[in-house]
Amino acid sequence: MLRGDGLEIGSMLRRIHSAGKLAAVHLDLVDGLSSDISGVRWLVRSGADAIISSHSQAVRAVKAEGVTAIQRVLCLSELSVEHGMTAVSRSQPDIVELLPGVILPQVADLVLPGLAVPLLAGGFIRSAKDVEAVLEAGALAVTTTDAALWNL
Amino acid sequence: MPRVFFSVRDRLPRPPDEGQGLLFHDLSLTELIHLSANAERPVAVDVDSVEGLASDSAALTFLAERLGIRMVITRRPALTLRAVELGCLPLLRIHCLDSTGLERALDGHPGTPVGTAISPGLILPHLAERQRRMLPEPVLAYGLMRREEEFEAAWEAGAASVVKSSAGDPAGSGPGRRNHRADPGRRPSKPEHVLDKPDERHYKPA
Repeated sequence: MLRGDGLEIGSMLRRIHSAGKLAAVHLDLVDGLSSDISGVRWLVRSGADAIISSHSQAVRAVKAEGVTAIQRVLCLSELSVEHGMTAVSRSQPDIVELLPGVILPQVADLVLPGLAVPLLAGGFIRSAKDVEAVLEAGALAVTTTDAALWNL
Repeated sequence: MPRVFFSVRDRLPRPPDEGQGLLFHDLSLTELIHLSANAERPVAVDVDSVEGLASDSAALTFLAERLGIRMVITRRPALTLRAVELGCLPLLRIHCLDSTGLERALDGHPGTPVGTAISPGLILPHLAERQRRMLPEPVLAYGLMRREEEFEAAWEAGAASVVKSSAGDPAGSGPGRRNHRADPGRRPSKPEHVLDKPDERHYKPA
């Protein structure tokens, strides 16, 4: 869940759970919550199974709360990849999500060495061919809002 | 606008290739002044990444009038308009991480004569045709561009210009690669806590 009201997210999470699915919530992108330990605790209390953030501090708080921590690495330049990977090694999330995911095959050499946890890739993945290339390059799974790709 | 800008963080490429511009980014103000004085070719500056320089009107005036910079890149739409007044070509830098974020960022784009610096440059060929048509020209593919085929793909996808990464081609030995490796202990150009908190809120869906 990358949008919505973080303070009123409980009923949505209950619907997702009753459909037999797990829910990851992006702490930095939902409204109403700050990316700190109290924001994390609120989402855990609301029933989030995993929490996504780009902030090392929030990721550490998520781990301390015992739910799955997903840290985003934003690939804008060599420098941003470098700093993202440094942040990951500091906070040791359970999963890393790389954005924009479709470029993973081209930046895998910068990201994969030194990465000890599963990798998700999301962003501009538009076709089954993209999905295949990204998985081939080393991602465990892709994240996409394109429902046509959900049942590949 | 040159078809190729060489990314410069610490030293000028020697010898510089003919027909290339230089893009200064992630360096300090004193380094920028020193390096741009010796550049002898078209120079662009990523204003937001120069340590010691605010992203504001006074900084732009200094770049344009004192350093003679004619092309600037920034994430601030208001600053691009100021650059136009100063006779510069401004490119609004768009962080291109997912479709929702791209469309939201473009909502704030002033449009021509302000061009677009799309980051990472690698993403340009992966955009839908409809998304590429939304980018005000000229378009600069900026970030993580290392391989010849990646430059070709960006030009093919409509980039007027590409930024060659200072890291060079991972398969070859680009001129900048050696420089990059020679200085592994280089400090981050911004305080770490800033880099550690990439701001995603700007592209939050409405």
